[in-house]
Amino acid sequence: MKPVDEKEKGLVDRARKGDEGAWNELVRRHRGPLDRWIFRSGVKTVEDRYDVAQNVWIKVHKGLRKFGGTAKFSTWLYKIARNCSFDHLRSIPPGVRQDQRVDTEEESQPRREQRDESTSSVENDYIAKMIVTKWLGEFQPAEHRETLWLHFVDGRGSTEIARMINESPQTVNNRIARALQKLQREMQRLKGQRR
Amino acid sequence: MNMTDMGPLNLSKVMREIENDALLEMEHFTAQRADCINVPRGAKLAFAPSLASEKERAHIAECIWCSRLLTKLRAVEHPAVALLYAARWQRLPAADQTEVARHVEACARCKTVGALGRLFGSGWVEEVHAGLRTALDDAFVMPGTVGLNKGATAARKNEHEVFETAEWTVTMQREKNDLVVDVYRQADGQAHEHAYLFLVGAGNTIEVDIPLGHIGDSWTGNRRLTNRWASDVDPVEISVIVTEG
Repeated sequence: MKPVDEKEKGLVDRARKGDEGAWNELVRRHRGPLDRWIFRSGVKTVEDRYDVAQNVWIKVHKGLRKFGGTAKFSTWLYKIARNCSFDHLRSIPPGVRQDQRVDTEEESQPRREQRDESTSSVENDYIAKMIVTKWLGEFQPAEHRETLWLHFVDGRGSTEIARMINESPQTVNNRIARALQKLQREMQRLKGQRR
Repeated sequence: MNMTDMGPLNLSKVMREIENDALLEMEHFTAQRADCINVPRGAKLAFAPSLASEKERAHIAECIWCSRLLTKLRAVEHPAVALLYAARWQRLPAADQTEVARHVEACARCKTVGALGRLFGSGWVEEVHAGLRTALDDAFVMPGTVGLNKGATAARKNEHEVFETAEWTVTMQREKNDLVVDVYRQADGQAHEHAYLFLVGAGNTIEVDIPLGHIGDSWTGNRRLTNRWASDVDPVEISVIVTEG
C-alpha cells in the first residue's frame, strides 16, 4: 500500500473548507491523469473529454464533504471518472457513436499511389497509428477499451486488470484475445489491399 | 505481430503515441481555458450571478464551457436556504432572483423550504435575514445556515418534535415546563464546537447555544434544556434554523 500523501490530504481538507487555491492545486495535480482515464474509457474527442472532466469535478465538489479520506483521493477520483465516462458513452446513440472515429474508412487505407519500394518509416508510423486508432475506435462496447490500454500500454496482467475493473481474469483474457484477433484480421485485409 | 510489409507493429508503442497525442491536445485545449471559472466559484455564482465580477460576467457571456458549468451546477445543487428565503421575499438582486425562482419552480425540495413563509412573520427573522444577507457573499455555500425543517404536526401531538436534514437531526421534547433539545450532527471530518438553534415561533424566538461533543464515530451532538416551553413558544408554529460554529 502506498503511503498517504500528506500534502494531498491537506489540499483535500482545505478544498473541502472552500479554499479555492487548494481546489485549483488539486485540479492541476490530477488534470492529466484524469484526462488519461477518460480517454482510455473510450471518450474520444477533446471536447467530449473536457465535458466529462467537468462532470467529474462537479461530482468531486459535491462529494468532497463526505469524502472520508480513508481511500486515496486519486482512487476516488478514478471511480467517479469511470462512471462519468461510461454515462457519457451510454448517452450517445449507437449511430452517433460510430461518428466518433477520427478517421474514415477511406483515410485508414493507405492509397496505392503512396506505396513504393522505399515506404518511409514516418509513413509506416502514420499508417500504424491509423490502423490502431480505427481498431480502438471500433472495439465495442467502448467501456471495454480501457482493458486494452491497461494491458498493452501499462503492461498489466489479466489478474491485476481484473481486480481494477471488477471483472474476472478470464473475461479480461477473452477481451484481449478478441481484440487481437480483430486487429489481426484488419492487418490481413490491409495486406491483401497492398498486394 | 507482423504488420504486413511495413515491418512489425509495436502495438504498445503505437498506443502510447496515440494516447500522448490525445493528452497533448487536451493540454492545449485546457490552456486556452485558463480564464474559465472553477467549480467552487461556479457553485457560488450558479444561484447568485450578481456576485460575479465584471471580468467574470464578460467571460461567462462569451464562454460556452462556463455557461455549461453553471447550467450543470444549477441542475445538481440547491440554493442555500437563506437564498431561498430571500428569494421568497424578493430580496435578491434581479439576476439572482431569476435563477433561484427558476430552480424552485422545478425543485420540490426547495419549493417546500422556500414556502416556509411564516418564518418571516417576526421582526427578529427579518433582522436575522438581513444579517445573513450581509454575511452571505462569502459564506452561503460554506457552513452557515445548514439546515432548516418544519416539524410534522403528527409528531407534535406527542409533544416530541423531530427536525431532520441531510446533516442534522434535532429533536425536541417537553418535560414539564422545560424544553429538551437534542442536536445531532453527522460527522464530516471537521470539528464543530457549537450548534446555534433559533426556535422561531409566531412572535417569539428562543436562541439555544449547544456545545457539541462526540457521539460515537459518526455523530457529534449534545442536549440542552431550556425552561421556556410553556410561556414563550406556541408549539404549532415552531421552526428551527440550525447553524454551526
